[in-house]
Amino acid sequence: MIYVVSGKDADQYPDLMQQVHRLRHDVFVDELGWSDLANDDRMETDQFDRPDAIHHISVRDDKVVGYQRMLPTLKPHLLSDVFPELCEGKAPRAIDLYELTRYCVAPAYREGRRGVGSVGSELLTGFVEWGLDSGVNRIIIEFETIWVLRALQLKFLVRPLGFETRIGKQKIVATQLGFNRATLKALREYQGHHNPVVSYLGEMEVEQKALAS
Amino acid sequence: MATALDQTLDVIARIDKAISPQEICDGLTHFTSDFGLDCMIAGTMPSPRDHGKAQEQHLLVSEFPNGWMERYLRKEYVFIDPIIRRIQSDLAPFHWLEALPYIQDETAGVATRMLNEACEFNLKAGFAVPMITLDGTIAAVSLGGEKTDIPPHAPAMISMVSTFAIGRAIELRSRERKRIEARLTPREIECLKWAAEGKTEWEISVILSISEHTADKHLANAHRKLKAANRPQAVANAIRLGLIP
Repeated sequence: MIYVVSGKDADQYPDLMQQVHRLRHDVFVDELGWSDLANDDRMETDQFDRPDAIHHISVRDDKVVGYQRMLPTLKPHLLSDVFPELCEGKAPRAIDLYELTRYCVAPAYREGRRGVGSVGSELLTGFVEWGLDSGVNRIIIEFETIWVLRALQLKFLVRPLGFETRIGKQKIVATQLGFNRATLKALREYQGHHNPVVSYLGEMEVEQKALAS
Repeated sequence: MATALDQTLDVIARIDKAISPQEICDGLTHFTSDFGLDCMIAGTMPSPRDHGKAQEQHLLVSEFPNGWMERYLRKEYVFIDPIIRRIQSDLAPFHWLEALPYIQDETAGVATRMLNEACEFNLKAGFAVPMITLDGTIAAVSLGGEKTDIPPHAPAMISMVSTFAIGRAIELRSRERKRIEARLTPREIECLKWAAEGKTEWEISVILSISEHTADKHLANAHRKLKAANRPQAVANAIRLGLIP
C-alpha cells in the first residue's frame, strides 16, 4: 500500500513522516554517501519538502519501507536548481509534468542489485496511478542508467534529457517518462496483481473526490 | 548545428519505428558507422547449460557478416569469448580490446583462434554495451567493424541508443511470440516439444496416444504457423520464441 500525502498535511502524520525522513537519511546519506544532506538527528530534509510536494509512502506492517516525492516542475526542483548539468538545454516545465525524487526502498525489501522487488515496483505503479488520477502524464526522473531499459520494458515513453553523469557512487541520467493506461497495465502484470496500490490521505483524498465528481 | 542529444533522439526515434531486427540494426548502425561500427548483434547472455540451438533464442538481433554467427554458434565460442565474459562481470560499456584480459588461460588457444577468425569476417574492432533487463538477465549490444575510431563523446551516445535498440528488440520479440502463441494449439505445441527431443512422428503418436497421421498433421500445421520450411527450422523458431523450452 502506498499512502499519498500532501506536503500541506505532513504535520498531521508525524509518525509516518518521521519514518520517511529517517529512511531518506539511511539511504541517501549513509548508503549513497550524499554527505551534504547529513543531519545530526539522522532525519534528511531539504528545501523541496514544501507544502506543494507530494509524498508517496510505501508501508508494510505499519512500517515505512519505500518512498518517493513528487515536485511540480513549474516550481524550483532538483533538475532546475540542483543538477542543471544533467540536462542538455533548458529543463522542461509544464503543469502536467512532475519531478520524482528521493526514490528509495529499505534494504530488507530489495531484490539484489539486478532486481526491482515488490516495494520498488509498487512505487512505480503508485506514481503512475497517482498521475493518471491527477492529470499528470509524465515525470522527470534522475535515475541510474540501468533503469532506462526497465522503463522501456514497462512501456514508459522514455526520453533522455541528457547523458549519464557520475553523482556520488552512481551514474545518473535525467529522463522524462511519459505514461498511460498501457504503462499501468504493464506495471500491474509485472507486479502480478491488478489491485490499486495508492491510498489518498487528508487533503489528497478530498482533492481526489473532487476530481472524481 | 544539432547537439549530441538531438542526434541521439533522432536515432532513438528511428529505432522506435523499426518493425524488424534488421531495421533496428539499420537504425543503430546508420549512426555508429561514422565510428567504423557497421554491424551489430544484440541478445541476452546464454547460460552454460544452453548448447546448440538453445543459444540462438538469446539472439535478439543478429546482423554480423554472413557466416560468422553460424560458425560462432557451431563452435560454441560463446563459452570462451572474452567479450561475453567481460559483459557478464562488468556492466560498463567497453571497447572489444578491453576484453582481452578476460581470456582464460585454459582456453587461450581457442580464444585467440576465434579472434583471428573474426578478423577474416572483417570484425577486427568493436564496442559492447552491457545492460540488465527487467527480469534481471544480463543483455548486451555488440557493435563491430574493420577499423574503429570512437571519439570520447561517442560512448555515452552509443550506450543510450543501444539501450533503446534492445528495448525495441525485446518488444518486437514479445509481439511475435504472442502472435504465434495465439495461433498454435496446445496439441501442436506438445508435438513440437517432442519433435525438439528428436522423436519421430510415430514415437510422438505413441507418446500422445494419437494416430501417426494426426501427429503428422499437428506438426505440419505448426510448421506453417511458425513459417518454417522443415522440422529443424520449426523447432528452432519455437525455441527462439520461448514457446518450448
